[in-house]
Amino acid sequence: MRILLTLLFLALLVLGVWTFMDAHNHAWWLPPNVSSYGGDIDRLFYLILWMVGFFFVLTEGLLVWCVFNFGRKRTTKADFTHGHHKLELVWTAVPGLLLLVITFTQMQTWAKVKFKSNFPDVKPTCEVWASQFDWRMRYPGEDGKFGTVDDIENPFEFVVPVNEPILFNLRSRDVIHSFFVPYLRLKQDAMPGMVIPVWFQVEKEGSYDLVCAELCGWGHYKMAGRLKVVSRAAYDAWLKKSKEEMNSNGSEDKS
Amino acid sequence: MRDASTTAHAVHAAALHPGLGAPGTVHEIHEHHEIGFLRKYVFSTDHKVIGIQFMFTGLVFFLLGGLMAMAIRWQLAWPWTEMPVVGRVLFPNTGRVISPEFYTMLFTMHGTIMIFFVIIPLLTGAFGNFLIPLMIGAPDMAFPKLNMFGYWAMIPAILCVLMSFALEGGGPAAGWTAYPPLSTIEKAAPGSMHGQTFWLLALTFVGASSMMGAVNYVTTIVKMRAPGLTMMRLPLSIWGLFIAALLQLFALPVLTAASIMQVLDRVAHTGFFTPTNLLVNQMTPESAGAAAGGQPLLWQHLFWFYSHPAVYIMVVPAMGFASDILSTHARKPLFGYKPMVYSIMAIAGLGFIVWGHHMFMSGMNPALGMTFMVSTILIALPSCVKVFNWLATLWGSRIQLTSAMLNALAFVAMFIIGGLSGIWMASTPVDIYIHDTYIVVAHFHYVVFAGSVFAIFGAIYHWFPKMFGRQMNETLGRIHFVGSFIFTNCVFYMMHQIGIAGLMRRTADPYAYDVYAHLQPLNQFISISAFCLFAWQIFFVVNLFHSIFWGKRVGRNPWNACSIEWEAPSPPGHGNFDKKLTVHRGPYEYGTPEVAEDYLPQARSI
Amino acid sequence: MHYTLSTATKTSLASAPEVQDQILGSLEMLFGTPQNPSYLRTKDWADAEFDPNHAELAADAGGTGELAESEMNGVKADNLVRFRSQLEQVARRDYAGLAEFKSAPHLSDRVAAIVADKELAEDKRQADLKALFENYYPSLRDSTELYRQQCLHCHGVEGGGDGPTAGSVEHPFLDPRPRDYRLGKFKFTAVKDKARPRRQDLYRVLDQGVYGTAMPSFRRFSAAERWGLVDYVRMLAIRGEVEHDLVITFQDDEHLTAEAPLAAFQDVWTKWQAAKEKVVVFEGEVPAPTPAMLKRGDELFHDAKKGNCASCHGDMGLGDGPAAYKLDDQGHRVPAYTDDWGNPILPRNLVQGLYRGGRRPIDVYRRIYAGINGGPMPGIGESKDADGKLVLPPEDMWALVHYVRSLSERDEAVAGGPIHGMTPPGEGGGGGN
Repeated sequence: MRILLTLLFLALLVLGVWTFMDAHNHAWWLPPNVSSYGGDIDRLFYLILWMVGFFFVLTEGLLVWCVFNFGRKRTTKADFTHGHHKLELVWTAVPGLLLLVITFTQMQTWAKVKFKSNFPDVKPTCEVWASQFDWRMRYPGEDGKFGTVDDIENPFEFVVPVNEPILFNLRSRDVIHSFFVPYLRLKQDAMPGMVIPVWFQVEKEGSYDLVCAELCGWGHYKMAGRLKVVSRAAYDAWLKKSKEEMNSNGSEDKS
Repeated sequence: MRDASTTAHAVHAAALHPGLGAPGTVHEIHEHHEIGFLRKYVFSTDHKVIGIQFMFTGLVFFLLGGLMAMAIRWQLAWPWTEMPVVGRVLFPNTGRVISPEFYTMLFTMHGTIMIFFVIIPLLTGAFGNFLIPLMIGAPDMAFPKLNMFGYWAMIPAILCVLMSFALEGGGPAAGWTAYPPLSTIEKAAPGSMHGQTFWLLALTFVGASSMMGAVNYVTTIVKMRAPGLTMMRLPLSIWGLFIAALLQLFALPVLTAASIMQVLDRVAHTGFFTPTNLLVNQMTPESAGAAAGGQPLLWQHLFWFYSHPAVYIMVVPAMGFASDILSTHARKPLFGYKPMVYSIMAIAGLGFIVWGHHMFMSGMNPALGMTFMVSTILIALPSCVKVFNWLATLWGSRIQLTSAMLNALAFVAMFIIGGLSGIWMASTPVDIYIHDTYIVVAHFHYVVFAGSVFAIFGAIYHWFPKMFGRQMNETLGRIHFVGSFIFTNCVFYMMHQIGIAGLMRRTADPYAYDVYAHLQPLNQFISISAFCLFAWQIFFVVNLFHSIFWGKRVGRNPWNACSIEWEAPSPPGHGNFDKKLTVHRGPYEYGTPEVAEDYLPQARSI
Repeated sequence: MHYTLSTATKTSLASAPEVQDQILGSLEMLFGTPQNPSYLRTKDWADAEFDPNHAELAADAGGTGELAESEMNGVKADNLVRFRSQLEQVARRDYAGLAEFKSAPHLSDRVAAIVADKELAEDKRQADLKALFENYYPSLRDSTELYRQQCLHCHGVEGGGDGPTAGSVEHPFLDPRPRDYRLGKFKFTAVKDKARPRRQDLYRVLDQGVYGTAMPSFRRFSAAERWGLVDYVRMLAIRGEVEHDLVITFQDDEHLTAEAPLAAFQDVWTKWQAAKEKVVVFEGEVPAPTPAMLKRGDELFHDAKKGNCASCHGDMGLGDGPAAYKLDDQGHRVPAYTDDWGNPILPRNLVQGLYRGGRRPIDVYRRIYAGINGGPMPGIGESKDADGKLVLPPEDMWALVHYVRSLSERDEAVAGGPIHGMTPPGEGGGGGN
């Protein structure tokens, strides 16, 4: 049993580390980041991963050794010790210090992403309305104001220009939803009754999945959207085309 | 007859409430009167019987919660395929495929049942009840009738929770977290029709039961310890249960208040949590005559103010049991008794000021994200200290690889994983990505299932002799352990990677999204491991029931342990101890040079 | 899982179970099973080399030719995006795992067949696969699987709006109920005279969703998948109508001939083909709203002889007009109208600004012009007064349209006002400017 248990814990240790190191080969890892602050978040993620990985190997390793070595049958009694003051101090102070370091390195990024004072000084691109079970992006029309009749409502697709800071107002029609774009490392709950400003900047054109990350009912799993990041020229063209479509007289439906 | 039994009761009462510390004049506690089967085994005020009642209730609900987990895993592995049993019974005409709202009900009830009807009753209800008087040398709890009432308050809770399935709309489907408006507005989810109200009532009854128990535990531990048993000589199981009881006492009232507010929102059309101008399923609350102008965030604050300490309620007693089992079966004193005790206190104390870490993305003021981050990261420290102390306990020890010990060791191994993964979530900017993904699911399943449940298994193997006077089969115990350990890690470890890939929780069909489409094989691996894990528990169930009736009989102290409960007969009779007890030392004097044997019990005088 | 008869049919023919079986059998002959749906290709059609199961093929290529060239081009362009990784694999001649499509079994089979065909030259194999993906259009078999996974739980096996998520008839959960296709009536179309919807109308619903209901936008699916679902929904609707017609025929004639199912099918099919003739289009440019138009619209809205909107939609447009409610036997206020499916229905609250049929001016124009098929909203675009003149000539129609749209600006709280002093930062703009 001693050998079996040693092997089991050793397997946990080895496979535990190996699965993390091998994960990106199977795409069981962070999707590529395309946002301006995503890199900061990823760096913090990796900082914690290494620290946590070190302590994982250390403690599990000690456990494996203890089981292997002290699980042997012996005729003598165990070491009769109740504690060691200095050791306690060391393993309180060192992790404590490391934890404080982790804490303080996080603060700047959090402020950068979420504090209003750090938001880019731009006008909101659109209002993103979350509802059961749809994302609707409402762009202001010619008058530049939200909530007027010439607003352009685009279901499912959130179109934005690349390499520009984008501010939008996140709102909910009914229950709590959450705006999550994995490729951007961006998440913000949409709270009914509140208007929550959110900002991001995307550095690569493409289409990125937008998912709902807060249980909102039976359709939570299918509440998909798409963040479509295009060049400024393409964005302007799309916006212009959408405004024209608003004024359609239906002739595109003529048979 | 009436007069005689009244007198007998009075004597009994005097014996049970002897005043400060002294366990009564035990020789007077003999069977004055024959109590019938019902009073002895069903409506008993004996803490041991109540503890065992909690234990079996918890295990039955473990089965139910586990079945729900199997259904969840089936859907995640093979979405929209015919589900065995459930599909045939509930969805016969639409291809035997579960519906999306059924899935939301599944994970809601899985979480609710596991937290409120399995882990908390097993840890605090079963072992709290069984161990506390025995480990402190008391004949019973301070308030035996309250204790009995505390168990029976679970029955309305059970009825409410089971009834909620049968109601129109089915069981509650707003998650175990029940965030409004999804939970308060009837038309937001089918389960929010009547099922949600019964869920809230069930939670209120569970809360009442827990609070009654907590009052009992705190009073008993403070007031009824044997002479010589100072607080700093208590086994860590008692410290764990004591602190957990304090957590229950201070945190539960907030949940109860919040639940009542939500019930009022649903039934009396108040608007504590309902903002204005919602449009849910073509209905606005105002048009249905409900008040509005409330704040959904308020529920989150109130709910998590309880539910965060709740997770420590679910882990701290397990840490206590693990400490005792490790020390006993390693034949070595627990390393760093005082730091261990202070760590539990720190976890509990800090546990009251970290609740906001569940709400980092919720839209609350981001400045709170900073403050809660500091307290949350700090709370990793006492757990870290505990892990090192456990390892130091094992270093230089003489490990006996009994089933109890195997489970306690696995608790340490897997609690490490659960604790370490928490640091990602504590870091607020990283939590932007991680919140509501499978990393969170991996984290809490590691601490609660791989952690607390293994500690519970260990505790059952360890204290089974005291409960039933017999020993559980070691071979079956080992088989159960090896399989459970392997399958548990197969199920939950890879959930970290799934979460790192960004998959969010509570998703009935992840593969429709490009970013998650490749995760199906991994989910299938996890599901198959989960089915194996579930099936493997048969070894435990068979072992448990067989041993109750036909296990090897043992004496008072089969493990040669030091704490007081092993001084009582196995199983202890009414009143627990058949001799007067005085405590002379701490509970972990293993390997002491003072005597020839490798242990020196607390209550032995030399 | 199999198609059954509707509750209405079973009730009407409760005393004639053998007729029920006959109808069920005929429907299976005409439309297939849920696992393998397909229209019966009648002899005439076969002779004419016409296959109703292929909407994507042009009329001269043997299909129904109902997809315009621009629409097919859109499908192909979308396929390039949707099958990007598959096309990359084909370019590399790496065929591993190529045939795995969760919701397109027929596509999986076809890909697997090409990959496995030993007789095929490598170049031809690569070209065939490339063509298959680029020109992919779902067969009914593909669409039925997608429907099963995504639509069935609300809309039901036969498209009766009676899936589990809809809730039971006694205890409905979704409000409005999911559409029951079997009456052949669809509310938000571009056609008038209560005609059948065009394919494009159904596609629009999948593309935009029906905002304010539980029907989301399904743009997450490729264009091909959406057109395929349109085909399948059409088939369910046609099937439902044929079933209904057969019941009526039996009730009229007291027996069903062997030719009756095919005749009913031809009849319904023709009606659906006629849809495209009935599109509502405005000739000329849509006039922009002016204060004068809004004032005129206000008058028309409240004028009982003109728009007569306020009687149902209320003075303020809140959907609480005097005609909206009635008193039931117990004296309770209940909705006065029911829709054609028997569900109680209230007039739209126009202040909420949630337009289910689309919020462009032309969309609102169509609602007023043609009414809503299946609901009590009348179409007054072609109504004439006693003198034979249009009740609402075009300028008046647009005045009304703009007025109605302006109602959604009226209530800031509904359009989305802040609470607790949380003001949205800045006003709208082009983003980045």
